[in-house]
Amino acid sequence: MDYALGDFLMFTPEVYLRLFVRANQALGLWLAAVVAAIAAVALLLRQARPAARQAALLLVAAGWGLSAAVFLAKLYAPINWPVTGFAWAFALEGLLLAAVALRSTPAPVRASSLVVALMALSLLASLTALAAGTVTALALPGVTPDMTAVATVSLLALLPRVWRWPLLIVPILWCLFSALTHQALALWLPMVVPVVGLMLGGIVACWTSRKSRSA
Amino acid sequence: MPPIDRRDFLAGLFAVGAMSRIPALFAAERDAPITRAIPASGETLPVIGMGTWRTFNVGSDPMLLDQRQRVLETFFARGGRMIDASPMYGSAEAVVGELLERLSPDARFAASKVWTGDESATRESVANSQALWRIPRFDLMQVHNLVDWEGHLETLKAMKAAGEIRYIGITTSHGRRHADVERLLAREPLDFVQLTYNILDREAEARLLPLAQARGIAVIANRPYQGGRLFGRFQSRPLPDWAEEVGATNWAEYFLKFIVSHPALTCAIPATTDVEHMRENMGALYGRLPDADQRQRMAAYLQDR
Ligand SMILES: NC(=O)c1ccc[n+]([C@@H]2O[C@H](COP(=O)([O-])OP(=O)(O)OC[C@H]3O[C@@H](n4cnc5c(N)ncnc54)[C@H](OP(=O)(O)O)[C@@H]3O)[C@@H](O)[C@H]2O)c1
Repeated sequence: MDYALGDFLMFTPEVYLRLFVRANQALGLWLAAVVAAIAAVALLLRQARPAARQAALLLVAAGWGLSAAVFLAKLYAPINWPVTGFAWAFALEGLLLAAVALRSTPAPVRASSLVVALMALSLLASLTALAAGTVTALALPGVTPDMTAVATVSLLALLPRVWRWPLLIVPILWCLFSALTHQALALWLPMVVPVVGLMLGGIVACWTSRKSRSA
Repeated sequence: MPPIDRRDFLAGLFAVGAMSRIPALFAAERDAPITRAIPASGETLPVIGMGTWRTFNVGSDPMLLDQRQRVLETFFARGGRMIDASPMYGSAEAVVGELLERLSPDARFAASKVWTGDESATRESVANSQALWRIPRFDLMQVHNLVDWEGHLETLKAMKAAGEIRYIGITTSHGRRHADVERLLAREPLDFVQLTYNILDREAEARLLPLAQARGIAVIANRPYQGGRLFGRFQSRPLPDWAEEVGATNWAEYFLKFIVSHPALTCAIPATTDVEHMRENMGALYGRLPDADQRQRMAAYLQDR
């Protein structure tokens, strides 16, 4: 008689996948604003003007706030105690991103990289929907925590290394927690998202900074 | 087959609807539920209760609340009474509270736990759970996993003496801290002990069950299906030819009847999210129970597998 990872799990896969449906339901028409914000981030990162790219970072910061308030605090925390702490951490990450946006500017991104990133994100966004068997469980960055973390981690590659490291702590801790949760739930398909987050986090943390590359 | 006309069809539908509303009546006709007396009072309890760990932690999801309502409805309709929860189980206490209010069953036995490392917070914890369950008082309040049991138990004893709770107890699971449990069973005035006991996890048989029986302490078996693993291991295999002789028509009844036929046992508390599974589980509340020899045979049948 011994504990298994699953014995610590407080809820069932069904309840977890319903969180995605409910987060989308809770936002209702505001989902259109989220999609518009994602498109705006992509467009702003292509702009030559630093202020535009800083604005992109501010929009990402808002996404952390939204995931913290709706998905984490309102829906997920009541069924999973440790998530309350993560909701606060997400809010803090949002503030940090906003503060960095005011001090530093992400590098402009190449159109080809942007297309690849958006395609990869679309694929990842569909995994919860596939697992839940309903398109209403689609996971959008800025709404659901794993996707917010993955999208942000990729974007951190555009920042100097000095900013990346502090900004990577929360996404990496979250992805680790989330990957273990998915493992305990045996939700292998959606588990890909936090695992990709962890892998990208490792790459971005070690990636040569813009300065050293240009030097 | 003669054609069914609209009137017959509607009458049939009504009959099915009426039957699903009052299955307790049909169950009562079939058999009387198997009960056990709580040694401390003589009050009887149906031998099958229900747990809520994982299964009732659905937060405020309206769709899942409605679904769990059907599970709970089936539990009460089939004669169940004891519901076990804990502040540790996320939103389970709040969900049970909401559903009890919706269903307002005639009889229920509300069992929860104190689960806090702050020994001075016992009353606060009980009051909080009471508010979540939306009930005036608990039937049973247990110290969860012996967490800071000294302080909690003293307060619970005082609360019982004042009539604020009816029974007190302690819990453990996964075979943890059996030596501590044994010491407490021997010296504390407990009404209930909750521990892991199922057809494969039988450590409690050696010392704890005989001691509880000798001391007049009711025993609740948690993890009756090893958290569901027993089904994973055995469900695809056939029941033995003699299963009906021990009162089992499916694996759920086989596992549960093995547990509740131990003379020290008061009830088992399987947890489920599924109405059909709840029906199967409550099947163990009726019919015959195995005797001591048959119990050995039941356990041996699984050892061979
Ligand atoms: N320390 C403690 O105080 C402590 C520790 C552990 C447990 N407990 C209590 O004991 C209760 C029971 O233990 P548990 O929930 O850990 O495990 P359990 O009751 O042994 O197993 C629950 C699992 O069995 C499955 N199941 C139930 N009925 C079934 C059926 N007829 N056919 C097939 N599968 C079935 C359920 O899945 P479905 O949802 O698909 O039916 C669920 O996954 C807990 O809920 C809790 O209240 C207390």
